[in-house]
Amino acid sequence: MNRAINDFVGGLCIEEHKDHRHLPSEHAPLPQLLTLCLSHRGSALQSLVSPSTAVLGGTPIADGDVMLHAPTSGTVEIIDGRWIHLRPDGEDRHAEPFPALDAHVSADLLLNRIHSCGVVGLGGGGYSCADKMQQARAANARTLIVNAVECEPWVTADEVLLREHTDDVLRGVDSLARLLDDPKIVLAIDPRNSAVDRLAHATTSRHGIELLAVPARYPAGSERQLTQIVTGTRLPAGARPLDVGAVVINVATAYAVHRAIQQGEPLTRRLISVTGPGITHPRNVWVPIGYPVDHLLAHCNGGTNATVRMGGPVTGASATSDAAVDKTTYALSIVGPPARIDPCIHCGQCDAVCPEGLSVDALHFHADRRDLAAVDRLHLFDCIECGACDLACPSAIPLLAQFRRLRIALAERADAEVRAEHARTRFERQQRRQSRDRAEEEQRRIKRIEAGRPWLAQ
Amino acid sequence: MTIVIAAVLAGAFAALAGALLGFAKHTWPTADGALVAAIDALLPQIQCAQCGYPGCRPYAIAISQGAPINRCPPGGEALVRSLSTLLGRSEHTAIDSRLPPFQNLLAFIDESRCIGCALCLPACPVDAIVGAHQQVHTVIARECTGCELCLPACPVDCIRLVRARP
Repeated sequence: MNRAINDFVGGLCIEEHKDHRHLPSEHAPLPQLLTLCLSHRGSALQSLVSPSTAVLGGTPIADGDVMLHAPTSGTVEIIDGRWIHLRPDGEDRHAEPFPALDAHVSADLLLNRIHSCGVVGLGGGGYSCADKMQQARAANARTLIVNAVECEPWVTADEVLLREHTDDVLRGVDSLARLLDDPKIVLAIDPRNSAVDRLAHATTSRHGIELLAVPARYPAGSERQLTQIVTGTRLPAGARPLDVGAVVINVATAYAVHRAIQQGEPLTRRLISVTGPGITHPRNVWVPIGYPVDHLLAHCNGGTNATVRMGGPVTGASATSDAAVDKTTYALSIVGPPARIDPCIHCGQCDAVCPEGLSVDALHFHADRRDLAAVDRLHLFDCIECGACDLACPSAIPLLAQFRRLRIALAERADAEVRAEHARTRFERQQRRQSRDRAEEEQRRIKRIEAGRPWLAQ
Repeated sequence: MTIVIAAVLAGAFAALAGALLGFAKHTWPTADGALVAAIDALLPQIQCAQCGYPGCRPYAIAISQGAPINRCPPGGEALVRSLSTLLGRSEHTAIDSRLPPFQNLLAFIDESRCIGCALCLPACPVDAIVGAHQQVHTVIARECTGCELCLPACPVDCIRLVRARP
């Protein structure tokens, strides 16, 4: 295993809290009801099923940017435009899988299979894997980065998946590499990861995959920072890894690609960590997509929805009462009682750890005053929402949550401005049309007067 | 004699300067136009005409000529604040209490009751209603600003306000 020679700016060393990394993964029992969301990354999916249809596991039930499949056999219950409720019949029957694709099929066929199995980025981004690889092909990407870093504390789902299914993940990586033109393959991993030995063993027998130990600092696994570690190029603001010829794939995504191509199996379940300081026995559980969060918490003897974050304990957002696991949920974190928030002492720790070099202290100052113009000027939109500032803050100020709220406010304001500009254009167009109509009528009137009344003269 | 020459020269210079300034004011009326544009940029562009002027731009022109700045319910107090900052006028802090609050809703035509009279079409300041005589009309939700001007125009009261932008 090679040690990375490049590094990223900022970041910090944190307690890992990953003692449960050595436990084997478990399977969650089927719940009474699965709730599948009919939107993906903000765009709506079209439902392909009507109410009270019986479906088998693996049947496509919604289509759009990505495809959504029924995780198990059962009856589709309510579709109220936003959700599909699937009531499992308990038999867990599955539709016939797609035929396995061998090593020599065309790239189009591979991409098509990845799309029709509904594979998305499982590291949390959720971007369609087929679209991403298509763009990487078009941009002639030369580096395939497999992201096994999983830098967030308490989360071990990728690590356990990688240890238990090392060969399957590597097969998925091989399939993805076939889509690119002989790329350099780098598997980036934290040296403390328990799958390192197995990986080292597996990668010696195949050539072409470089195992790279990244700096053990948070957030080394963030896409932009990882790209810098691997390629040595710092991504400019707004740039994606593809702009420096790299494409970053999460290990869970690579596994899903393997299942799609070699097993013909749509993405209907995933391994997630149920973890965090608020739970006695953190563990990793295979759950079908759509698993209700409260059910899963009851199964794992965890907290209530009020104390749960969808995702890791640092970057996860609070769960709603009817939240369900979706394709991008990599962990459920039960957080402890909130820490006492003290006033900002302007110590500058947040500035020092920000991996994007943002002036977090100044951002917080203006954010408290809701000065939207100032935070926009301080590049709030370049924030990668890693939460390193939260971890560093000695006053326990929830900076990330504040910045997220501000981003929503800024986006709403920009939206309102666009709408106002649109209404202004339409109003002014109408005004011009009406004044033109009036002028034309005036012209006609003048013509009528000038023409006189010849029929009266006779 | 000297004093006469001085007076004539000064008078000629004053006349020349006056003519130049007058010419400049007529040819490049930018100062006023820029002020109107700045005010117009702050107005919310709902075009609801509750201010008593036929739309946001006419109101912006009126404000630049001294009309009260507290007549825009969609803009709310935030607008009054930013207008008083822009214009240095602090006589108002809140919206005129006689004006009803803005609800931020969208117009919706009940197509089962619409008689196709086309009376609501000219009432809409942003051409957000499509329809023709003897044809059912509908509101383009994306274009509707929620100004409520179409409500009184409808003779059968088939337009109501509905919640929410998507």
